[in-house]
Amino acid sequence: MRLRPFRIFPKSANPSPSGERLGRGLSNCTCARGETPPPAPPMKERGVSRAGAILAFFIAALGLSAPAAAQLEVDITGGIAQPMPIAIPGMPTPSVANTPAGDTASLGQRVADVVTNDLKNSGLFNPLPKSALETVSHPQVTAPDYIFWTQSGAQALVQGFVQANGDGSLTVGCYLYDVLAKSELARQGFVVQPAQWRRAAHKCADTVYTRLTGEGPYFDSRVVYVSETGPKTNRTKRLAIMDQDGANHRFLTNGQTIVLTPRFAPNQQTITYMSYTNNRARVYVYDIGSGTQRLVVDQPNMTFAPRFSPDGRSIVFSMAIGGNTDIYRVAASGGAPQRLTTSPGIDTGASYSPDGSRIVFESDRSGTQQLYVMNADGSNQSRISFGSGRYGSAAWSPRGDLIAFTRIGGGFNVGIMGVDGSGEKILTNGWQDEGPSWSPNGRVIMFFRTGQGSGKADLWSVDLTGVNERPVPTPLDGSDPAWGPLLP
Amino acid sequence: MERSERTGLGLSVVGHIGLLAILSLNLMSVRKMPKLSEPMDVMLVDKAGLTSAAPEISKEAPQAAEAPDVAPTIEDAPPPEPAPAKPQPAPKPAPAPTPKPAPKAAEPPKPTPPAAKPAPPAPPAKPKPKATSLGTDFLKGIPVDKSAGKSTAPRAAAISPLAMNGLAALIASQVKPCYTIPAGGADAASIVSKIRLRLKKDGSIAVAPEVVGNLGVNPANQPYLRQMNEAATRALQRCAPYKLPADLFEAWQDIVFTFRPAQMS
Repeated sequence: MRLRPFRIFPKSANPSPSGERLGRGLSNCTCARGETPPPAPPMKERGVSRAGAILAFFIAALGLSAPAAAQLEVDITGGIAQPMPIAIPGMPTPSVANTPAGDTASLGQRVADVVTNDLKNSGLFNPLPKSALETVSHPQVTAPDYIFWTQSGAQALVQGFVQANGDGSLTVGCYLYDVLAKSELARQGFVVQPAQWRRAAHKCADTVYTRLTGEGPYFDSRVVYVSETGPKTNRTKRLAIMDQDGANHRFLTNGQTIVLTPRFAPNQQTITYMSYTNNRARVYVYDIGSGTQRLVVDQPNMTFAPRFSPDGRSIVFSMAIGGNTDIYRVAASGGAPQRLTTSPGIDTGASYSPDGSRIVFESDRSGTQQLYVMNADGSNQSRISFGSGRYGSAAWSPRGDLIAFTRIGGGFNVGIMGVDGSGEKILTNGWQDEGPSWSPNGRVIMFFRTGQGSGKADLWSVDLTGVNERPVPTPLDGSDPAWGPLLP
Repeated sequence: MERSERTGLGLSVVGHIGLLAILSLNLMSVRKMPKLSEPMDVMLVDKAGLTSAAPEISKEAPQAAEAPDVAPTIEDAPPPEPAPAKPQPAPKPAPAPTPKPAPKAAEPPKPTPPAAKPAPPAPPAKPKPKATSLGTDFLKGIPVDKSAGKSTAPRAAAISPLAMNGLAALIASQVKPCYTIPAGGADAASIVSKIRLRLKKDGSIAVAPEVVGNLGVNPANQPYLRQMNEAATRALQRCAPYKLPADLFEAWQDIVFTFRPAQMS
């Protein structure tokens, strides 16, 4: 399963033109720079004449430095925030060979299509239409036709190749070029089994994305969610898993019992969720490899809203005992739960910080549902949300700096705030948007949107700017998405 | 004893006075003045029009401005004499005779300073940009060949701070449309990039843009530093070649750009 990236044709790393000359020759002065004043005349020993000499020096300096050749300085303030034009032509193959996933020539085009789709969906790139691309020959992969690509308007160029290896595996080479500077920015090769060719494409897109944006990778990741179908009053809800772009979709449960709030374990081999098995709402763990599920806390009480700790060793969840709901922690392998909150009312929706030291959760202890942060052992609880309306379904960003939430005011909206509650920003404005889940790089949020009246829900994603919002394709309706970590 | 006491006292008094004198002299003379930073020309100007305010320029301008008119009529006559006569009547009829008068105007003066080296190359280069230039032919009155010598004085004087400011605005207007950066990125927009660009006379890039410094970098936006510098570099590459007044080439052949993305649109 593990995908091994390697450096193709190891090459001495090009020194980056930027970032290495910091502090050299930098002037903070935005005005004209004068010539250096002439050297001071020799000084006399006596104090009286000394003053005169200084005066003379100043006069000389003033007089000589007035007309000087000035360095022209130009300020460019502001700019245009728009996606970068990028060209991703089909990837050639050195020799056409058949594989279980199709022949290598057609695979080359499909890899390019996946890369194109990933980069486009990020909202940060504007891939050129196919009609604006030229066919790339195999030798051109490492020697781009810069003349053509410069004229195409693309600023970056992604090329690559697909090659069948003797052992039945595929090698996908991925190269990124700066069209304007006519230089190579990155290259990476991936060896995969033919069935996993899409992962190689996602890895290639991640290579391009991280190099050009400075953000972390996220395309090679999966999403688990609740697939819904049927009438509003009797929905069939099944656990389903798919790639981040909707491909490789598959159902994990058969829909005989209702399942809610699935969450990945860090190792992505297990999923924790709430299921109404035997008409009791309780937290389970599902093993993807074996397809079996296991009860986490064997108690008669209702347990729900589970989430793994970042190290995967424990699960936080909520348990309702006699009308009072509190947050508990239990070892992922099972055992006696440890109570973390004790306030009367409902404490639920716990989510760990990426370092595992703190937990954000929701509580109605103040009278309305608000967000709180506490240490992982339950100490030091403090409220962070103070805006109008109620707040719930908090999710701590994998980057650690933000908390995503659902705000319930006039409607349901997804937003973000700092971990201390500062800088609140609402990102979506659908009728009912809720259940945010972070991409592995903390740059995109997936959530589900329920239409007014229909009760039908769909998966959507939005980035931190709130501008790039798009639907995530699923075969049926979808809710409760949980974005898994980057695949190894 | 008294006497020796007195001499001793006297000696000590003299000694003290001497010491005082030496010390005070030292105070006055020995202490070095701290080195002062270089004086800078500071001028508070808003975006000014592309006109020069330098007095030297206005003096010379009439000569060339009326040269086209004079040239056809008086072939051999010494130019100096008619020159002072016409400055007023012909202030700006220049636009009418667009490309052709220019070379002609350049030719008549030639006989006089034929020895001047920079003169020959200048005229051919001049007229072309002028003809195509987008109203950037300010300072048109001053023929480049006049300043035959390469002495810095007249050059520097010809480009006033006001003209520099106008030139900077012209360059900025040509670069800005190409300056795009990816949205988002925690605090990335507060990174300021200083990029040095050296241009050829035709406005194309002579030396690849070079990052000479950054401001506003902090731990949160550090991961985006490289990308922000590249966005600025790309802007300069995309918009080249630049259409700039050829007479001011010396001013714009070496430019330091400061990209401040903070105010994104």
